[in-house]
Amino acid sequence: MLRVSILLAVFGAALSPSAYAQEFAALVSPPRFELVTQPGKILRSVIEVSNRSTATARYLFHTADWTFSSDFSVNFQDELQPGSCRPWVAIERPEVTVPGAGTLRYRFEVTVPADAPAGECRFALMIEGAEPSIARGKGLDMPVTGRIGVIVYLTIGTGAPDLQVFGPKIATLNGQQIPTLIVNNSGTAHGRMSGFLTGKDAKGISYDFTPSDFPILPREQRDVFLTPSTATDDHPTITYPVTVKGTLEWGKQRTELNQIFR
Amino acid sequence: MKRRGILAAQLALLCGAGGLAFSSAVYAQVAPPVLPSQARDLPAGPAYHDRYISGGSLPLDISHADGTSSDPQGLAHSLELDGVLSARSSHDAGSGAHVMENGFFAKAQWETAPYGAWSLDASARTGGSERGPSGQGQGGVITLRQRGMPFDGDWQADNAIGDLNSPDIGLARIQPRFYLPTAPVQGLATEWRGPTGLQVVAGGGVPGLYDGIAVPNFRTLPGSTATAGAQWSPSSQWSVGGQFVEARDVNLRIGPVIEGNSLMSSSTGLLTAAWTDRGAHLQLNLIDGNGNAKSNAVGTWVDASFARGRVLQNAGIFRIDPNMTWGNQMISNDAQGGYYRLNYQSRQWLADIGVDEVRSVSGLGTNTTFVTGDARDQLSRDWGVGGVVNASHADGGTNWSLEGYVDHANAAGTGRAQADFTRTVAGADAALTLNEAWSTPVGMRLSTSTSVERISGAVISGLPQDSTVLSIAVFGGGQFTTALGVEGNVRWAKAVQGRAAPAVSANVSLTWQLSKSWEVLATYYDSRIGSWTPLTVQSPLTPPIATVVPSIQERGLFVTFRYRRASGSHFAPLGGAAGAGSGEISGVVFLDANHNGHLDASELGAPNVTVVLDGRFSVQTDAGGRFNFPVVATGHHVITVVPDNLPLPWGLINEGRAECVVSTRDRTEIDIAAQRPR
Repeated sequence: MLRVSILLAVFGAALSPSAYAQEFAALVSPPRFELVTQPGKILRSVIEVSNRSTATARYLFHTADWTFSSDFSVNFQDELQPGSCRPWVAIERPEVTVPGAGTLRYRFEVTVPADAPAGECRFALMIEGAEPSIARGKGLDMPVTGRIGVIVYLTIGTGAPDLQVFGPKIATLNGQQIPTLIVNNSGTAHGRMSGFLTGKDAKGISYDFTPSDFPILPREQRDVFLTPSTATDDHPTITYPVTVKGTLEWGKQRTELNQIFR
Repeated sequence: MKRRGILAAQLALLCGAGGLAFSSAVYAQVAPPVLPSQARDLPAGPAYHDRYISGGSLPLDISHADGTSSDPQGLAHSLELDGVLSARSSHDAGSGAHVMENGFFAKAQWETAPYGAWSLDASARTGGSERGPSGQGQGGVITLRQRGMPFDGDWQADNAIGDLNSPDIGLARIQPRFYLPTAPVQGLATEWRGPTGLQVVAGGGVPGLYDGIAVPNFRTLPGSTATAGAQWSPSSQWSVGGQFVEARDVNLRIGPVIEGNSLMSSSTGLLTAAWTDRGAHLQLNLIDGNGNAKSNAVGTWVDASFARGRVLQNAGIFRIDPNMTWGNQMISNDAQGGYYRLNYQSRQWLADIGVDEVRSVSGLGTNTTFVTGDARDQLSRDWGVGGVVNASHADGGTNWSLEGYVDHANAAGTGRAQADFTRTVAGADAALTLNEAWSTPVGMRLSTSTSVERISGAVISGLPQDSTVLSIAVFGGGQFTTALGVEGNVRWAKAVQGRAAPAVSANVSLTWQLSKSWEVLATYYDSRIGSWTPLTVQSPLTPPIATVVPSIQERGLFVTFRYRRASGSHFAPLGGAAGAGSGEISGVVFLDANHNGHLDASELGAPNVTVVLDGRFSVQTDAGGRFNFPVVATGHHVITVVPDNLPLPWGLINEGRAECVVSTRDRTEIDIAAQRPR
């Protein structure tokens, strides 16, 4: 619970004033990169880091590998992982001091070898506050170091997702029973599911369903939640069975869905 | 752990674009905070050493941002001082004019705990044109506003003195079909809001007009105006209100009173009652006025709306006598009839149909039947199609128009192909347009618009303008370094057949951040546009537009030296308590000619429009229609737009109201489209 509280405090969702007063206050843009390049090319890009505190802040930069857990959390690894493309990456410098309210344009580049296979290079640019801040809770002062990871997806050549849809099943999300599809990616790049789906439940109530757009990494299988909504209720309770129809899309591919969830 | 991932995903749903911590992929990007003791708990393994570009010797690219002071003390207060130099030359029909205007513009805002938020806008200028409304000489504006002053018993007050717009009660501001305009005056305005929806407004002063080239100027007109009104909600469903507006001996033009031209005097009263319950709204309005010894004029109209699920229906009936005025402003008059609108909206579908029937009360005006239909289907994630049909049958004949378009999100960006055909009693117009908003790196934007248009029949200078015109427009810009931003657009049109005059216009704006508090803004524009006649089919309740647009040959240069300082704002952001987190809201108010909700290259921003945050804090849009609230408290906010400076017939849907949730370090972009009624 403490861990969750600190996460919220550092990343700004439910800040207590005292926590914010000495926090790691950085606005980073864009939130992620989805880039395309070819083997043998050098790709250059810029990330903007705005110091939103009034005091000068020192930030540390480095790259990291990452994995996406089955519980939808991200694990960053500083150590070089097998198959990592981080050796292709060069960043501007290891640390920068940014004055209060200043904005830094931080550069990085990826040199893709000429013999690199079609696929996807994934890594994270990590931005950390150099000095610990004080997160003050109820009777507890906790030094924390803020850290933000900006994920870079770099498609190389003809790398693309190839998703297969399985299911159906019903999963519990935030205490609600949600129609869910199992999606497998046998392609060479990550994919995200989207589409327009409608359906009716056992009471005859009509719903729109929105597929969750979590990334599905190559050679991984994920649950894709079909979150229901109605014209008047964003969190309706479905009475099963429910029939869901429509089109699922990813990349340049699409498939029709006509499925009963029970 | 699963709960945490879902929690983060929920956070992502709350937020707009731009802020890392609140992007749609936040669950994949926000690392858990690392306690110093835990930072070494990562899996052991060989350390990896990053490579550095040029050995880490690249020069740093850091801006000093928005003038925020390092002084965190006190509630939010800010100061912006502009020194403006401008020159403009224009030519028409063998004569030319050269205008220079120099001046200062100061804007200050400060928050107080006991007296609400205060702002002071003041300008002083010299120069201007020897012709037209921007007369030579000195002038300027000065306005002191106070918003949200709290009183016991749940009362709050807004007060203003100086150059301002006269106040209206809330029920007068939300008229869906008959716009009751506020009037620019030099005087006083006050608004009090209390419990049970009680609202009292009053104001008055000397009427006038805003002008000036780059520095705001207020020019008074002879005469006086005054208004007072109140509204009250006796129950959760009912609101009733009334307002009285009077104008005395107002000269409707700048300059001396011309002998023989009567000055305008009028007295008008409004009674209104509204009932709202579970998606249904019914409002009855009765207006009674007289002016310049003419016979008494009476108007009444009833507007109803009913929302059920995805369907919204609006209907109304009206009768307004000729010569009806609201203060010294004309409103729609000499009309009786009714209208009906049906709107359906889902994630995938949007459909809107409507019919208006308008008859002249006096028999001297035009009788019109107007039918409109608009539909759009988002076929898939990347493809959408839509179309619009308008038909108007009036005493002089039948006018109609068709529009069809395809939207496509492609690898290069977002595009629209659009075909239009219009036939009016004046002539016909067929156009094919390709718009593309190109994908660009962060901080950059680029959009293009290409069209070919065939115009036949519309008469200019006694001759039909049978022409085929090719036009290209490019809009783009961005933050090239942290200190230098450039934005501009170029439009070029040439008659490849026929006699239409060529049109070329360009403008470029540059923003250069000299230091933490100083920046230079420069804009150069050059427009050479021939006279033309727009062919449109529009509702008879829409304010008319000029039938012939005169030619423009004009160029100008504006240079602004800006000093900006904000203190305490980080710890007391706009709308928040001391110590609250802050984010940023920015956006653009633009004239959405094709109703697609996006700013296309051929579309213009709406300058000098007031954008209000939470009804308390206001900024004006710049020359490109952009606005910015750099430090806003986290949480739910409402943006509204004061439409008074929008060119007719452009208007805002629901006061341009947009709601958003700002989260700490989040940057929320809000684009507000002004549209012409169809």
